[in-house]
Amino acid sequence: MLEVRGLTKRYAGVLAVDHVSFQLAPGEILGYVGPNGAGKSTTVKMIIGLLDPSEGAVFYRGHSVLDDLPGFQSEIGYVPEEPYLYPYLSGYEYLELTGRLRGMSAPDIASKIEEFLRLFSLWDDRHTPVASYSKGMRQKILLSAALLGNPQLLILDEPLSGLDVGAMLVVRELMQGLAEQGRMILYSSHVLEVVEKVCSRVLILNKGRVAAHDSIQHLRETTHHSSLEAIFSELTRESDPRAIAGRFLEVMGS
Amino acid sequence: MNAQRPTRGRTRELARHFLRHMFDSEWSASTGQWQPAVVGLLALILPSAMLLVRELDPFQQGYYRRLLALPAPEPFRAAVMADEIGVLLLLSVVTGVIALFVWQSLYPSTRDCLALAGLPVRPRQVFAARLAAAGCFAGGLAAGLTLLPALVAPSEFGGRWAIDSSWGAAFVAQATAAWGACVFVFFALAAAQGLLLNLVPRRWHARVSTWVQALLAGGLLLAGLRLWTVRDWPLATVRRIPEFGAWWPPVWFAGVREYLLGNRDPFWGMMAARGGIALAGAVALTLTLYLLSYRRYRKLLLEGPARVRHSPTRRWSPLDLLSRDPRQRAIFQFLSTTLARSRTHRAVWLAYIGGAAAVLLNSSIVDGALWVSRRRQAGLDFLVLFWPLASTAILLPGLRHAMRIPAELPAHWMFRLREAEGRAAWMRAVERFIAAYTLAPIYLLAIPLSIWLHGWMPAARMTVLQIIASLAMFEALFQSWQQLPFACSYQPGKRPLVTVISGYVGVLGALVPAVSLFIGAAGKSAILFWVLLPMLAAPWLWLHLARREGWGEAPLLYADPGDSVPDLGIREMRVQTAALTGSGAISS
Repeated sequence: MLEVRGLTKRYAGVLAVDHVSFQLAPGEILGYVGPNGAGKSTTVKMIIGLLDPSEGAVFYRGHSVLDDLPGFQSEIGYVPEEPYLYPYLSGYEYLELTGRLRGMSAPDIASKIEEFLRLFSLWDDRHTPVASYSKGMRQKILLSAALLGNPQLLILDEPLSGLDVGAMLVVRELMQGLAEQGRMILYSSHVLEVVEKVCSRVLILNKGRVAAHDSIQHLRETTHHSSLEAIFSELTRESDPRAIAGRFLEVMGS
Repeated sequence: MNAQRPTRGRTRELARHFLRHMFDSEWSASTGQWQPAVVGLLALILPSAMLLVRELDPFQQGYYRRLLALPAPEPFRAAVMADEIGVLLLLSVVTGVIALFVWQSLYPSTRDCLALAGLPVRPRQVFAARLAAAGCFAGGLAAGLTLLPALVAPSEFGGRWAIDSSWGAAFVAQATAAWGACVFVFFALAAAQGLLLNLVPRRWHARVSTWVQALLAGGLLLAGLRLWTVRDWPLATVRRIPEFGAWWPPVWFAGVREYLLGNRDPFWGMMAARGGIALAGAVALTLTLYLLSYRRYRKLLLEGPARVRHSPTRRWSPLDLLSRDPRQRAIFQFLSTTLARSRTHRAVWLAYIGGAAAVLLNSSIVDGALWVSRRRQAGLDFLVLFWPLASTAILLPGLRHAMRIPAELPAHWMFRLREAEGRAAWMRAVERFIAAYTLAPIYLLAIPLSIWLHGWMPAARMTVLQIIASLAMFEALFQSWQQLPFACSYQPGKRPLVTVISGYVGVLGALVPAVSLFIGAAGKSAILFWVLLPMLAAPWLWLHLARREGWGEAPLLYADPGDSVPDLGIREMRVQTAALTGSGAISS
């Protein structure tokens, strides 16, 4: 069980994340959604230990992750929002580096990398530098790197970004399969259709605060909206999109 | 007011932009960070030719006055010629070093092509703007470098035996010769880059270009080291210049000065013509190569290398011998690949290797170790004794410098996430890597030669002491090292360049020779060896223990604090901006 309690982050006095709390049980996929700048990625980075929270704490299996941060980090697989990779490494070398940093044995690394790259149709490009990869190819490398250590907790920040339709379907199925195996998945995304399909519960973040945190079914019932997109719009929208688009058109023509 | 100012032509706007960012490349974490370093560099080198003014040297005051008092003009003119060639050599070396420094800014970068792709700018406009920026930079740099020597030379080289004693004529001649030499060197290097672009196959270009940069850096440093012997050329050597110097660029531009002053000697006339042709040729060749290469270069930049060098699934590396721990091997893999493939890091590292090679060659030339058979034994003795420590003193700071420059800074999240699992193993790997890349090659080369020259026991004694001295240098340099190489932001120019160069001069000119002399004596005497051993081992051990205190426990740094810069707080603002930029990738 992953438990986030009152997580808060301030950047030079600006509140980016404001007392966010939630739990993630084994076998559960939690959809973590919100508009741009809502604090999703900041929360994710605090959970995995890249950022220190200003307040609050993260608990994993009942213990604060700070008690054994290396132990916690060894159990997570992380896909960052931006595909930052070393451009001069080939995809194979990047995954090899990731496996070695995790302390995996060489044969284990080699066999897993080969399988993952073949499954993602990257085997033929394995010796091509990452600099030459498309965004989708980089994303596949990041997903492979996240899965390499057989993690119990997956933290995926926009994992479908740049992927083609086929790869998106694979990742969707993969997430559901991983959840069925009892793994926990925190899935942060703007693609609400996918969130609606794969997540058991959803947390909507707006301006750093939790706007809603419930099962999608229950949210539908309470808000009387049939889709997550409509629920999301109601909870986060501050101005009329049509009016904003109209104003754009006016300025362009002026 | 600014908002109402109309924009200039596209090429002009671009040229202005390129000129402002001449020193910004992948060398630093964010734009503008090189400004303090560049200001320091220019402040140091612009008056560099003053070093050659003999009146400023307490040991050489009155040198020209004494020569002017002689009854014949020839000794005076020979001394002026030696000094003039020395000045031109120094200015050429400084220009060459700066041209290598901005090597990547002489032609458009991938970033230029991509960032401007969506704008109504033609590729040839980008090239023209780059060329204009390079031309302005070269002209300005040459003018800056030339000014002080041109002002000083008429007084320094004037008097009754001067060819033309009028101040104005001497100023014009000196300024023209020095400016021409600087511009020639700058454009010759730009042309060399153009030739590489047009001649070297695409997949080899980046690698070959970096090696050429390193060779040029080593060559320039070697030329710089020879400077002081050029100044001391006696009359007989100056007389022999037509025999050995007719293809030496500083001699061509010394010819320009002589010709402008009115010397109608056929040799100097020919040299002046050669200087003029060389200058025009370098500029014309650069222009031509720019025109020829722009299509090819865009392709080179935008299509990039198709594959990295063939890498079978399981490949053996000598670094695998250093550890079986996968985490340490991960760090070896990361460090060696970055040094081999990241252009910036490779260039920095190769420049220092070129420096070490230049010191070796210079020592060999000074002592005739490689060419004069009757002095070969003594020369090789000197090399075996001096070179290992001198190279250590160049390569260790060099690798440290290269390792401090970040590679794709936002990608370091993968290390931050895994750091706590393997920090101690990583630090151990970094230590071993440094030893494998610096000390091991030096001593693998030096030990067989030392045994051949001195026999087993003296060689063993010398090598033990040299290795301990090298390790002590390592401990001193890496005492406060608390980062993973290539994964921390970097603030260049924290130490004034004068301090850095003085440090090198002190270490290479005083400390290393002194320690080497003691080590040489200890190689011959067992008693002295046992006296010297604890004297070297104790500081090494003390530094080692101090460095290892709390080692592997404290978190690694991913942002350069840059807090030791005495710059009236201006830098502090930059550091904060850079820190935000550095963490921006993490916290966005």
